[in-house]
Amino acid sequence: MIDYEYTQVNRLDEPHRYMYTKFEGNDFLSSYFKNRRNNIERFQANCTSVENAELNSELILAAITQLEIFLDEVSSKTGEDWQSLINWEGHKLNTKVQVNSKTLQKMIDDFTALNIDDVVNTRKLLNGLLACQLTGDQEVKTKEWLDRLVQRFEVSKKLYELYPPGFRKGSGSIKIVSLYWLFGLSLCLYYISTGSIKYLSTQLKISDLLCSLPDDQLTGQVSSQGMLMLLLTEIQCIKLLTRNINGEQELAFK
Amino acid sequence: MGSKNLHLNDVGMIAADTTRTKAYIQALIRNKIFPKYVLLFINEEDALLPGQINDSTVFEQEIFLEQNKDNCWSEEKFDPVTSVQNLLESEKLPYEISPSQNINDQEVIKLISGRPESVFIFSGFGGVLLRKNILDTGKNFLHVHGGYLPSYKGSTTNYYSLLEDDSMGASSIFLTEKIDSGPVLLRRKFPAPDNRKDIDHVYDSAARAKVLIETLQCYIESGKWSFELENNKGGETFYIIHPVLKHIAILSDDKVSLCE
Repeated sequence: MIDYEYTQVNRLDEPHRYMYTKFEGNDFLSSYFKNRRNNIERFQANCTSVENAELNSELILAAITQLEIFLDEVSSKTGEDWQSLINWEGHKLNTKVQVNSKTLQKMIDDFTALNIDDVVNTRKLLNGLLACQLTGDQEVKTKEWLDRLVQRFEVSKKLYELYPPGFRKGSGSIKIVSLYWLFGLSLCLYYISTGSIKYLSTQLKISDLLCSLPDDQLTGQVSSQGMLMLLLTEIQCIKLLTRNINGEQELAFK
Repeated sequence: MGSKNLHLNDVGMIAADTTRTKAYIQALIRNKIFPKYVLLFINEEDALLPGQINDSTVFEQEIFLEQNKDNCWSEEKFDPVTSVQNLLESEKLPYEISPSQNINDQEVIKLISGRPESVFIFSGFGGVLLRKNILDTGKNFLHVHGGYLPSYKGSTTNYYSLLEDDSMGASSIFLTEKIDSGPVLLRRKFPAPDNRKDIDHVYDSAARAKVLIETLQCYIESGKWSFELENNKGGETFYIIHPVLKHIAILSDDKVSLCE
């Protein structure tokens, strides 16, 4: 089995440029699935940690509702019950946390107020993007801002804490891990609603980055449930795309 | 087009030693169309630059010997290994080795500005962008983008189009400061090739070479540069495709659209 190199070193410290990657056949796809399976097992083990349980819980809960619908549709196409793949019931977010519509509306209001001629706070931008995506609000602005973030990340392989007027090279910390997860979730949601592969490509790179981080960099930044949801949805998207490969081998995530 | 050699007095070429340039030059030779002058960029580093291959790279040569099923792939049969310099010398094409590997270098810009040709076919090292200084020389730089414009701007677009509708594309443009947004002279769609594993260095180059030849043939026939799409705005910009998706694009060769 070949190594999946894209998560082997800390990609916040050593970004991968992904240029002229070589073709390695079905073995490469198998190595990708194995990598994601290993990381899902890692995050499942961390689910018992209290520290991460409630992080971004509002957004995760709202996202879970949408993503579960998508995953159920995939299950009906693949004949595979996604919940049994990771014992989802055992790891589901504490459902006592209710989605507060006022919280989401505040995120949307902050997002609406964003202006490219001003300094942009990336967390507010991502919270607002996600709130819009999860409530079906402001779809034109969603793509516009998401494309700006995609461009910035793809050029530098980093997300900055702040972006100056004009949204060119950012400033502040590049190591706020939660921003990368929020971005990954936004890309995931955008891909499953539009089918535009461009966003899945960037989301895969974000997942590589997150999976390359040691546990201590994720603790306090990203909830394990949030990571599980992102990776599981990603894998199901890839499985749908691999269904048409001739002579498909056992690529399924198990 | 007849069998006579056609020397384009007003067209030069900027040629880095890459597989794409090799495809271009062999296509030009095959179609008997010759630029007046070539400025050759050679890699003097030990490491390969984007667009170059190791001389020991093995391609599936038996594919190159098959009959073309479709005329659109008429430029796929090219030798990706022989150096550009050897190709130019074999045809006695006038060329000069660039004083710098960097096309945006002042000395290079001065050299290009001083040339009489008003149009230069551009085939540089991968990822290199022409900066304002060289674009302001007044010369037109004829570049063939590997994707169907304006829908597919940016990088590795042919893998995205293969995933979306099982096609590839190439579009000739005059370069401007905004990436892939210059006026389109000619654009063409291509069906998925038989051997998707060699897209990077063979079929992407072959599609671009085909469009280059057709663009030059239009110029020769009419005596002027004409545009299929002057307003090349809009479309989508793509970034380097993730290797998982690249593998899916290569392995999915049953011509069924994947995006249901």
